[in-house]
Amino acid sequence: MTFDKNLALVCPALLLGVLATTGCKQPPLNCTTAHGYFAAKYELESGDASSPCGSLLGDELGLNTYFADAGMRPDLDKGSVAIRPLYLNNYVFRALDDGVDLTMDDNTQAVGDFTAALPDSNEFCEVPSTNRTTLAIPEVAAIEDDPETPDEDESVPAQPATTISYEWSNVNILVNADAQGTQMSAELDFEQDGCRASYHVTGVFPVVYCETNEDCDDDLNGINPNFATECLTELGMCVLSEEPPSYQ
Amino acid sequence: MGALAAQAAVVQTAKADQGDAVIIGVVKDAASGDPIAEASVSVTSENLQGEQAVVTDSSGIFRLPNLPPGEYTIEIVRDGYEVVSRAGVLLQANATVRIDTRLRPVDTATTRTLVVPSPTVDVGSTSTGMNISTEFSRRVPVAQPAGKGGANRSFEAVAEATPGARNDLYGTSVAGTTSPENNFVVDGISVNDPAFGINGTALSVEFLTQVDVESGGFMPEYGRATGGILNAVTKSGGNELHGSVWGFYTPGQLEGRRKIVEREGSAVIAEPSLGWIGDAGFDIGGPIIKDRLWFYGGFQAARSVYNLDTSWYRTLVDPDTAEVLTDDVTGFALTERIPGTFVHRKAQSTSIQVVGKLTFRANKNHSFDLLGIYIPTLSGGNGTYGLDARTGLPEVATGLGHYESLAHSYRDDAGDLNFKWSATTNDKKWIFDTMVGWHHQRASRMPSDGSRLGDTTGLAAIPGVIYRRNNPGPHSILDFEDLPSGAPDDACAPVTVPDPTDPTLEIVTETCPVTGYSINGPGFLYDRQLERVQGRHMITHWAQGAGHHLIKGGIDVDYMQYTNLRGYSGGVLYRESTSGTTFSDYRQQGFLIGPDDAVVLRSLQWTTFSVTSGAFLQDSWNIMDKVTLNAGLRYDSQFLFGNDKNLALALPNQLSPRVGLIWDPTYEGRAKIFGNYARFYQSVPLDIADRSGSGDPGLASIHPASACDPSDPDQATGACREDAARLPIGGPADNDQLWIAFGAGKTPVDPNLKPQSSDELVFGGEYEIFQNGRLGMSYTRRWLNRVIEDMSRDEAYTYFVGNPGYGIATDFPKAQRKYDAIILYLHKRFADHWLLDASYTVSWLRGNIAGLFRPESGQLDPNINSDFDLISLLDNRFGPLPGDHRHDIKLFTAGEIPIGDKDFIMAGGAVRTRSGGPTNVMASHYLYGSQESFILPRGSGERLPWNFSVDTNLGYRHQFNKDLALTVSMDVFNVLNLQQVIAVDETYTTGDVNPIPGGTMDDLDNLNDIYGDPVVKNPNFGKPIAYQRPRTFRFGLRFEF
Repeated sequence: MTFDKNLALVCPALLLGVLATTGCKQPPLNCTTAHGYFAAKYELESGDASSPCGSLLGDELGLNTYFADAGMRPDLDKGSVAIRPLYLNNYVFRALDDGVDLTMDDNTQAVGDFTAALPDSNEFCEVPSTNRTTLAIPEVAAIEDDPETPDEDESVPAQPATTISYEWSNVNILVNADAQGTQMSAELDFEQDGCRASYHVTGVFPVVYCETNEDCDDDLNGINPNFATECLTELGMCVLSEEPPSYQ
Repeated sequence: MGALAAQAAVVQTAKADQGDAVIIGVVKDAASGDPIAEASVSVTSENLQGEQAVVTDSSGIFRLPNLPPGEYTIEIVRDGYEVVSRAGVLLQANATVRIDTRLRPVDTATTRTLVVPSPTVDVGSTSTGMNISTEFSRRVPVAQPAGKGGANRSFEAVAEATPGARNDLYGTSVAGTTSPENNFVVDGISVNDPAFGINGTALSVEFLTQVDVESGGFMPEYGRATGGILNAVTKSGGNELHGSVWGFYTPGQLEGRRKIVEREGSAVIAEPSLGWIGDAGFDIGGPIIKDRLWFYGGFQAARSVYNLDTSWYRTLVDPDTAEVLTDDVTGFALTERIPGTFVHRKAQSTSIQVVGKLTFRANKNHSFDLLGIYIPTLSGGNGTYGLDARTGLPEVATGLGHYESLAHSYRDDAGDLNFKWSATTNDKKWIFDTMVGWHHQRASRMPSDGSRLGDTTGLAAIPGVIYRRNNPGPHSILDFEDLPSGAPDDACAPVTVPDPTDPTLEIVTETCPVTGYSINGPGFLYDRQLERVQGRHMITHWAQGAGHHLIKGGIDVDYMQYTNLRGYSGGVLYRESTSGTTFSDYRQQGFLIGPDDAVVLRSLQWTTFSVTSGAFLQDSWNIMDKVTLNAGLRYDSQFLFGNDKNLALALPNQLSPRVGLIWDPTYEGRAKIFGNYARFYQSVPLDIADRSGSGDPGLASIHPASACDPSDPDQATGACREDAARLPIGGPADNDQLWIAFGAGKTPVDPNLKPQSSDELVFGGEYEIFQNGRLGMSYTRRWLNRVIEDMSRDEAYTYFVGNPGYGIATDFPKAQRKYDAIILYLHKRFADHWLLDASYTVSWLRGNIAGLFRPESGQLDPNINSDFDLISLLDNRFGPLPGDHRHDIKLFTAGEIPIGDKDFIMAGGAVRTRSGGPTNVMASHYLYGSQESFILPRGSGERLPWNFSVDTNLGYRHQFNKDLALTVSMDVFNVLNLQQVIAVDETYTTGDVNPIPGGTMDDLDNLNDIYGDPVVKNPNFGKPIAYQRPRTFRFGLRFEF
């Protein structure tokens, strides 16, 4: 959405000579993302749809924006975005719970820089690429059912060793006063144990679990009421109906 | 005695310039009734340098502007006519009075002296309000000693006497608005706090000749305020040396018995009482060069001391069951005082005021004024607590913490420098006014031991800790304090009994529980510097044309700057979790440069500024000399800038039209009927640029109690700050596992944002019913247009600044505040040894926003309060607002009884009666906490009772000679010591309950919280939490020369 309007009166700033470049318009928001979990829908672009790595429907992605240190304050003109996928980190946390010696290193999430300080004319901020993260998670043994509690089944199957890679590119974040980095799109290059696929990703903040489209229409569910969303029942989350900007 | 004036043409009328008065009138031939042109009209006064004179124009009309308030003698001379001289003409600031004269033609020059009462109707304006003279503020007990501006007896405290005005938490408000919305003016310079809008210079009435309060209906030359204009006019010197010395004292021992508020018991109970309040000072003014250069200077020192005495109380616990014993009626726990635990502390503040003024008249057409004010205030420190300068109240009301943690040293300075130049043409038809002013404030809150924010030693380097465990049980006070030596050894011993259900367990009940306690460091500290530079130029032209026109035009520029250095002692404020197993960084400044890569800041310093410019043009047109039409237009634009020097908020194109009509049916200046429409725009204070426009970067992490004990200052600054003492709190997909970051960015602004404004309609009439007295009635209607507030559409994930109901925020209700008032008033100025001011206001104030602060919580963040934050909280917010008092009666009177010709007995009194305000039924919100969810529509609770108070003043004056006098006085406030309820507990439950749209009291019976569980009703709901201030005496001594 753009909010250009004709000013009926002469902007006094020009008369004052105070704001030669900004004029009378309200300042734009600097490039940023919402902070928290995005509901992401994956659409396969290349790869075998029947393979394990090619059949992902979507994921919850944790995003946050970081700012460079301008000396005693954050430099809002120099932001970078981190993307942390739940799919990968479920493996990681299972391994850690089991006491597996796995250092929580940088490969649990990918980081990339914004190209600009302010959104472009279409209100998008771009992160062209992130680093490629590859994490090898060792095997985690199965957990047996505790015979002393016959009513409960604590058994968990074994988690085989796996190596997972993520690389993001063309990350576009919608940034304006009404949508403060709450819609995004990206390309994902995903690899797991030699199987490789690439996806087109769209995401919305925050994650809202759903069973029907009505759950996603609720104005108080936390998603901006003007966003066009629908319930992806296979995923169980509300996702964007269209490419960003996805509005009703 | 000749006739004062017969039927004459209505002389054009218009508002006088700020601070000065105007005399207008028509001179006619007594025999023929024809107007006399070229008559010379001159005035002299003790308050005027030299003499001022003009000649009447072809319609016999004259206008004498720029007259300082005071008592004048007017003389009219014309060849072929008698000379008429009239003394005792009283001029008030900003008033226009009309004096018509008829001259008898004579052959030889004679002089006729008139002694007639001075006109009392201000025929020049449509504004409502009150002019409070020195006589009034000295004889009538108005400025209560306690409260904001009480010790100083500041002009804002006195302004409360105005019909329709009332005290709110941060000052005096008029016409249903809030105090930060006013424009506080001293001699033409605006002295509002640049960051928060409240009054920044609490100048004492001792240095003033008048306090002029305009509560509505004012012309475009006054702009940028959606409240009223509170105008303080300082004294000037004179051709004779005059001055006074004074001292006032309010002893705490004579304070009436305070009614104690019953509340849930606590291990430490504080009983606040008045220690003493006093002020002393002197002023002197006189000539340096007679009739050319005058000086005026003054000094005052004021001090307030409150006692905050604390004792420990133990809860009574059944020794067999370990259950807490409770009162059958209130449900509160029963407590008893522990002997030997009494601690006496004070909360104190000292303030000094220094004023200096020079008035210079270069020649009869040019005059200059230079004014300087400096008001430093120090409070707290050295074992005492401080007073909050914004409210005038002690900084703590309880004793639940270490002194070092609760107490602070405050410094609040205000300074003003003002230069005015007024130039006129010989015939006084053109006036050029120029004003340049600088207002300065410094506000700092530092530790009580003298260390400063950022120091590495002293209390500034020690982090504070807040304890609040309640699960399974609260702390004992002995966890934080040693039992005083005078108390019995077992006073706070817990009661322990075996658990009847499981013999291996015990039930332990603390007898000295504290559910909240703060220790060690003083927490939040700041050092703020505020500046405002303003300049104004105004041109006034008086011309004939189908009657007369008084045309005014002007431009003004205003630059505000706010430097805010703030931080937390030791860099962090820790808070215990309710289970006691962890501590969080409750408040800490910093930001993340990468995942879990923290930059922790010791302090933050933001400098924000704003540029405002305005222009206006207005005409007061006396149509065919029968009726006056006021029409004008004002244009303002304001731009606020954040710390990064980028634009934060653009508020251009503020067009304020003003239209008014004044008709004097007597054509003699003895009555008026008026109506006025006006639009006012708000000047946005810099707090929004400092917080939303620059960001408030914060960081938090959680520390397990096993690895971090912040009560040990070494650990608090050492081990606790290592990652090894941080609990991983992130979920699998959280980018940061150890840290939570918030507030680093700016709050975006709706591109369609428009400035905040309010409209007003006023009708009224006045009539001079007897000498020096006038009766009037007015109707005012005020309503808000757009309001600027911050909001969230996604339940607190992201916020933006916008206009509720417009632009991005169309799913929010529009901001509303509607005020209707009918005021009936009688005003008789002090003459013939007595004065009387009475008013009866019937008003209705309803809406969904009170103004620039939230009375429910005391939050003062203009334009970014929590009123519109969340959609889930918006229901039920429309209703009668806290300032809605249907009936408000004020009666002020004073008189003196001469005894012989040298002595006087003086008496004065104030009677105030007011119906009670509305109360609400509130609950907690799961995100925002208490005082945020209106379970039932606003105002659904029972109305508070009527309040009634009587204040008296008794004095004795001995006049040694014409100039020397000594006065002894005694003010008694709340003579009857009436302790009516002024506030009740509005929290129906502390549980999280969402509003029930359109709910009624019946809906409370089966109320469930948002989790579906039945709520626990607060036993204190509806019970009083505050009473009227008790009776206080103020003794005074004044010597005048």
